[in-house]
Amino acid sequence: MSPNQQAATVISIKSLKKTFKKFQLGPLDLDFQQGYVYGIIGPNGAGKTTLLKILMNLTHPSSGDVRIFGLSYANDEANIKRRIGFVPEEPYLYRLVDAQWLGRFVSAYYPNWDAAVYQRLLHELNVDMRQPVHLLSRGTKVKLELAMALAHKPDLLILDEPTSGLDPIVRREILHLLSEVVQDERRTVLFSTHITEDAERVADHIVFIVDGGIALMGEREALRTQWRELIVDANDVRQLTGVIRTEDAGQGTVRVIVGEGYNGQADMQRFVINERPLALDEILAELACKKSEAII
Amino acid sequence: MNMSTVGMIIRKDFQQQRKRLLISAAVLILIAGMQLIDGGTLGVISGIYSGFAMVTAMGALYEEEQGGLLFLRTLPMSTGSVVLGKYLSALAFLLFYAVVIMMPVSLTKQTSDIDVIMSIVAAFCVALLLIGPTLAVYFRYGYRAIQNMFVGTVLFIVLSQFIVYLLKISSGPPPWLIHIIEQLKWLDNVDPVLVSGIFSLAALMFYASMGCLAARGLRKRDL
Repeated sequence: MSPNQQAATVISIKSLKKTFKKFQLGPLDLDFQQGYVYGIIGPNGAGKTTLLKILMNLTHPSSGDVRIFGLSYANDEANIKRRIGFVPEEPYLYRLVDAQWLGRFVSAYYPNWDAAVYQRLLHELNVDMRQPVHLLSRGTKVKLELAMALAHKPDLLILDEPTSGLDPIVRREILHLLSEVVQDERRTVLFSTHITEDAERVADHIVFIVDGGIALMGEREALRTQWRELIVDANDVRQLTGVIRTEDAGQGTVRVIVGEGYNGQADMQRFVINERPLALDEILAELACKKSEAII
Repeated sequence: MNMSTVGMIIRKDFQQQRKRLLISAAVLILIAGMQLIDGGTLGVISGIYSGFAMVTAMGALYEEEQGGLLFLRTLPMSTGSVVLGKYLSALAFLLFYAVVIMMPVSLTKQTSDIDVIMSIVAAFCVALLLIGPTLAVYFRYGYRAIQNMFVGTVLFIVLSQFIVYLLKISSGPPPWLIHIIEQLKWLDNVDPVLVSGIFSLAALMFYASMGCLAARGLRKRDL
């Protein structure tokens, strides 16, 4: 989306909380804007799937409010879901039917269903139309689910760990398709993953979820600018802002991890001997570490 | 509530269950035919009818347990539509079996026998009374919760049929049963069509109320 366009809020989450016996998601306050791709990153069990299931009204929040396209599930469930394409973490399709049957069945629920798009996607993704679902590999099932999610031209696409457990070739195919999908600037995409490279490749915004809370949210490029590993002279560490962690790097230098608060401006640069941006998995590790230290 | 989306669920259930329906229909015709030719009562047929209806309804739910309910809940329709679709599917299965069981009845020209028709109506009502709460439990608590319930129901049907059989081959029903039957003698004077009509209506109302309960249950359930 170009910078001069005002992005509409597609999903608005206010004080959302979901309590289980041994885990709590939230309270969360989040807005997702139209036309962006959000990568939701977190370790297993962080609450990513719970959040996405709440967004699909498959799981119900203990408290708080969720609005999608300005509507709430209490009154407009069908109207909301008509505009969403969803791919769950575990394949959920009927086992004994084939892609053709599924396409026919699902098309009745979506006024915008485009049979030609569905056929094309299945063809491009090498999904056999006549093969029963239970005979398809996990990767092919995900491809079929993606084709079903896209064939009704949704405004919002929600993907829960779409590349998890797939071989590198299928993963690449799915990421390629996703990169094509996100070219449509009116479409909002939310996808959760614990494979940070996938988010690195297609997401504009990254949401880090750790232990049920939002540990960090920001534009991918801004994160690259802020979250860095610096080598500085031991005497200059105090001059830096946004320091997360330091460790001795030998020869009078210190390795410093900086995050939010580090501006990377010239006044900072003069202290830096060497630097590199942190990868998303390194940021996640820092956030998880920070969270566990806070608990201790 | 969009009725065409509800209709799609019923159509889907029939498509997915077609093999089970055809095989059980064939078995039902065979058993009912043999009973009728043999001049036997329809007690056994009623039990088998209820059993088949339960098995088919549970079979449909088993499909759901494979992920189907999650799939339906991702589609653009309300929880009420999903539940209504499933309740109407089960009702359609029962009507299908009622039509199937009527085939040997009409072939043996017993359609004028009010006892035969009443037995089928009674079996239909009993099946409604069994399936209604079972579906409600399923939508609130899932398939596993109803497995025990299902096994119990089948055992109850088998056991009751066995008791009926024992009573038939023994010297007659025990005195306490004779006493109860005598207490209910006044029912003989009531029009049987009226009784079966009232009973059917009550069973259908109970079934519908279970449907409402199921919709409420599903609305609260986390998938």
